[in-house]
Amino acid sequence: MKFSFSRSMVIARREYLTTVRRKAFLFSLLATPVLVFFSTFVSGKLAADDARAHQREARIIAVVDSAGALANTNTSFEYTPPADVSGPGTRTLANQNSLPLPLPEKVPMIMRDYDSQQAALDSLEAGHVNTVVVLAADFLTSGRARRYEHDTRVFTSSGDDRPLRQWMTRGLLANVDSTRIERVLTLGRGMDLYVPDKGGAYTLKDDTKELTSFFLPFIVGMLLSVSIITGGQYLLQGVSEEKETRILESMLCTVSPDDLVVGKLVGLGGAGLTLVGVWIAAGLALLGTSFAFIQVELPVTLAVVGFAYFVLGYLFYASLMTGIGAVTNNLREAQQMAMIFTMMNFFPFYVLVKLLNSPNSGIAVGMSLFPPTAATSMMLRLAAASMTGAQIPVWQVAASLGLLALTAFVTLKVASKVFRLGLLLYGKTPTLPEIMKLVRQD
Amino acid sequence: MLEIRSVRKTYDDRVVVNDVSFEVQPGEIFALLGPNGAGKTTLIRMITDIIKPDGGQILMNGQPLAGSGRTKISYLPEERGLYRKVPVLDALSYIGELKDMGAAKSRAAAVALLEEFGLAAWAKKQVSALSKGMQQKVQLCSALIGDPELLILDEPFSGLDPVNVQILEDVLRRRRAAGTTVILSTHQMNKVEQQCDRALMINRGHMVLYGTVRDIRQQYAEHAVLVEGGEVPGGVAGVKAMERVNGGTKLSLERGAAADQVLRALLDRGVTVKSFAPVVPPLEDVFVHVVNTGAGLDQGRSGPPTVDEELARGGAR
Repeated sequence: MKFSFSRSMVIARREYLTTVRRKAFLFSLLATPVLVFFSTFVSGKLAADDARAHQREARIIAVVDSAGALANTNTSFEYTPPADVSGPGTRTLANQNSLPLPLPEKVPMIMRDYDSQQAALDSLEAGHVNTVVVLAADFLTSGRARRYEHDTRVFTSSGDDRPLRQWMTRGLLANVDSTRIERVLTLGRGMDLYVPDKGGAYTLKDDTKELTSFFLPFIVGMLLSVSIITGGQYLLQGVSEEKETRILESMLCTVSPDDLVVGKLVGLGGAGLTLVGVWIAAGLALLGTSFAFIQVELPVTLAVVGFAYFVLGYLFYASLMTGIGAVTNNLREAQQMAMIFTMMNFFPFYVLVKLLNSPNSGIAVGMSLFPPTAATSMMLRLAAASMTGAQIPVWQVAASLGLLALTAFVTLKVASKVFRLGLLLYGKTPTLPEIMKLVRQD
Repeated sequence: MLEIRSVRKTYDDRVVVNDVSFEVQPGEIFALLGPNGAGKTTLIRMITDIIKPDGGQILMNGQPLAGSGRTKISYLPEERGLYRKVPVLDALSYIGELKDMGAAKSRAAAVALLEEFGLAAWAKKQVSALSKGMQQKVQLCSALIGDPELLILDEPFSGLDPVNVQILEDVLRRRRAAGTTVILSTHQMNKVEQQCDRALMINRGHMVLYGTVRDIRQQYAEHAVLVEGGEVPGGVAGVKAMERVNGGTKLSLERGAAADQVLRALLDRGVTVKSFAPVVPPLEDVFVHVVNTGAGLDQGRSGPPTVDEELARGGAR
């Protein structure tokens, strides 16, 4: 039977509506952004708040100074925490001139001298002090010192010793004038870095924009990968279920395999695109003002090329999933077989830093030309280049799209054939040589 | 309506369908018979263009299948399923739309079919909520929607209770009266005898029987008659043996003896004859005999064995 556009559109409409009306779809639509939001923003903010709160706690520190290096140091001082822990004082292009920096807080610190380590530790156990610091006898030459605390938080071995270091610096530089001590303590702060912008003029390196230039390509690449794989997974699931429930043999009498494959590709691709489209729209609605504020612009060409990569990348992966769904006996088997291809799609993220920092390196070019990784790799490179001003040769984009289109077309043709034959195979999942033999025999 | 010409299909050097030719006439119910693994499903899949034959031709109304003719064929496979998480009416309407009926017309046709099968009250229920028998009827509806010219049903009676079997038989009769051609593949030989005009039997990919159901049974008829009425005396001319069966007497005739001569001889001997009929085996017996003896397989040609061939094989009755 010849391909019928109208029939394939009937199939596409049904596949689309059936999928988007499923509870699982609605759950993905709502739960994924919530999970991402919690895992990035909320957990990040909680960690930062925790660190900031910890730094603002008044402390009593027991000092066992075996070296006598800090004998003349004050027994109390006021520690000034830095304003760099995601605080409002972070310096950016946007706020460097407009936002006033808040007044620094002062945190009282009290030092108590102890003659023996055991006595100091006893005090720590009794809750009389928060921290015990023990300086070795050769501290001045070796720098050996130990800190004892009841700190159960993770990843804090070096982050919270700033008050102590500040006090020790003051003690070690007891004879130096206070202005110099302050300079030593705040060395680096205020040493702004200026780098050339796209036009070559030196401008202040903007941390927020830097972060955006990392995250935006990451998000663009991730959305592309997710939309491709989501559509592909829907196809895998749909074909597997139809094979398992033996619906398709009677369907194949009414419609051609091409009608079915094209209808499913369009309908389920649309469902995947809807999912990601809603996320993007919601993201822009929520964060759009922030993007405008930090002057982020995504070029229109990036959007157009991105759409082309979505169509071709999706076509390639969805065809693969169709073939896999058709030759395997159930969804579990199908998912196991599809896993390797799903991982391949996400492979560019494993070398993300290399792609973003060196978008014209050999590995970046190679992965952009290799069809299974082309869509995600090239989109990451293009998005990174649009932010940093790097140039991606046009021939590479054209060659990458061309190779992907050719591979997608061949995969689609083979998948269509495998789909027709595979749906009639039950029992043992055929091996690749068996599938090829079957395709040749047909 | 449907012409199959020397169709052949091979898998892995194994001939699954070997040089099969037959015709299905418009408006008839045609039986496709054969033991398990005979090649019936492969043959049906070729007729429905799901797989391609390696050789031969399949014509629908004189045109190759790849043309628009295939849209007029509907197929209910033996292993069948339905979309389970959708309402019955939607599942059927979707099939109708795929048959180019348009949304409104498909829905109307689906409603009519559900009424015909007594399922109207279940139209808005999910398919998964239906009993197995009801799902079976919905599957039949899905094959019937769109008024196909050729309806291919593979074991349509399986899973149905006697009442639903009756409903299906009535539906098939009405469809035939309306001009629908039906190919019925079943192992229920009594249904073939009741419903079908003609039959084809394949065994190991070869055609072994082909013709009207009556002729096929006749071909395997014993050279004998069954007489009901009075006591049959011994020594009737042309009778070589007698046997009491089911309230009658089965008379095995001598070679060359004609039934009408035997009847005349009986009447001449004063025997009361209420019923006199040739002994024709039920189709099931023919089926079992053909499969067990491999009849028709080694001649390298299609069609049933001749009487002489059967005699040479030592299997004549």
